[in-house]
Amino acid sequence: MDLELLRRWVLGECDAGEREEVARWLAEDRSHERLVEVVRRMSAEPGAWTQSFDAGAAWSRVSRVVSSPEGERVVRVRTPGRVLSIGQRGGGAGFSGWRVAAWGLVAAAAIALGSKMAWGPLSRALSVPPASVPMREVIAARGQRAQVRLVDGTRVELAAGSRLTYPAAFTDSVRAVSLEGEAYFEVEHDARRPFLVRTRGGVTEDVGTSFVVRQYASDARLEVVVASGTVAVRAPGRNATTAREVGAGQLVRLDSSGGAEVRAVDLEQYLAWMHGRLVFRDTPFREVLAQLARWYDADFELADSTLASRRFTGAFQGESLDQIVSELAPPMHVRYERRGRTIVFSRMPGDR
Amino acid sequence: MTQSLGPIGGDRCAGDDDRALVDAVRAGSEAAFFTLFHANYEMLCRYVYRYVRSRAIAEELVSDVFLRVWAQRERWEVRGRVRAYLYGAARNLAIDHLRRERVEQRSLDATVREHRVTGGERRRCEVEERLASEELAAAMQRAVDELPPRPRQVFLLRWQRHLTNAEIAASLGIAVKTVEMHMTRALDVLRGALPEELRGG
Repeated sequence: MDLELLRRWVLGECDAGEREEVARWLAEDRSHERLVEVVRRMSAEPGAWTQSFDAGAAWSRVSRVVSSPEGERVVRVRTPGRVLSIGQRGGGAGFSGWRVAAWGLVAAAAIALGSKMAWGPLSRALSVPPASVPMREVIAARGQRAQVRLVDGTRVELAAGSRLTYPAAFTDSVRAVSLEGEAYFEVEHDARRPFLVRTRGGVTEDVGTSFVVRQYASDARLEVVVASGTVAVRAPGRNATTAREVGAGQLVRLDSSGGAEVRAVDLEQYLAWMHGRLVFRDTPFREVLAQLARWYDADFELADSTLASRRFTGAFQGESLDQIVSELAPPMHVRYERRGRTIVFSRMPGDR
Repeated sequence: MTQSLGPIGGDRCAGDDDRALVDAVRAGSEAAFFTLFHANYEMLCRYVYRYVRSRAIAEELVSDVFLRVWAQRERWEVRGRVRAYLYGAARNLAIDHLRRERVEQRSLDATVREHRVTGGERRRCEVEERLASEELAAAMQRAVDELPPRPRQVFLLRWQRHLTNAEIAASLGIAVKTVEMHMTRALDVLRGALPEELRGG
């Protein structure tokens, strides 16, 4: 159809012959009315088709996510049969969830707390940087993993049920972040600005490295596993001279009295979670369940506390929680049953 | 005669620019992302506005398009023109938004007047008709925004300000013949943006 003719028709500028032509065309199909309607709007709403939007203001909103901390991402762990969405209205795309994670961390925190995870008095245990620098927080709730790239280029991968707090900008002398839970760090080394990871039970300082730091609220000891380079670990409040240096392939455990235990470990076991694998080697049952609870956002109970110290060796990848539990029970010599959301393990009959 | 390479040569150059921009964004360049954002934000807002009829929602959805690109930049795949990609992504988000709105509205309807099936049916038709109409308006908006500067200017003076060809020629300081040429060009492009059944002969 001739758009110019329609425009003139809409404006009442047509002669009788043209009016008849348009009327005939309109009668042909209902969809033709649609076009007339658009033409009407286009010629009758001055300015509506050229309205301006403030790209500059929009950029300043968008760039908060893009540039201040190099972008944060909450990655959903693929737990079959369970769809997690954080702070998300309606069944939208994962992206909206991500945006909520970056902009509305309070919501994410509320959800994490709501899922029966005790975070503990985090701020009291950590030395807090000057209040002038705004703090940011990324949380991987239970059943989730999160990736963060910090302003200095350091890459952080947060394990399920973990929280990372860091300043929006680092100072000239130090780059300090706080962690509760478990995270893998790949630090952009800068000798003039050491990178520190503060946890309840100690401070980990990189010396050009990638490493995993782990101390959940329920963990008495701080564990650091070094994948490459060297890190120095020290108890909170101690000065750097007391630090224990640990090299690649080593694990250091720091207990609350400052005692350190260093030993060589199989890195695969400690780094596997980043590739979606859960690896257990001679791991106490209690810890196996704590880990599964975080990964699958599940609740477990032991009917008999002596079961907690039994040990399990095995690996999982991509299995559903039901599959894992059914594979876990026979070697552990336990029975299990579901009670609502909780899975309860108990001793086999006649087992002592 | 290097100038007469025509649209093929022109497209190839633009495509290469696109490629470079996309590659830079994929590599994490904020500057490239800034360029991409500024070159397309307003147009996309006008386009999405045609669907959602709210400036605030349009801005939010278009920001989402860009944030999504940035969040997944390493895996960002663009086949063809980057602008076409952005329009496509914006359209998806706009339609998702309308669908969500509709679901909310429908569940509201359902609780209010569950028994009146015919009412619900009529409503469904209305909603579909409305979406078809928004699709058309959005396609026209996009076509207007993608017009070359001169034809766009001429088109808007005629369609929005209702000036005659002679008045347009005078205000732009160009020949009436040239005005007619730009106008023909603009209307051709707009007609090309219409769905087949509305294009006619």
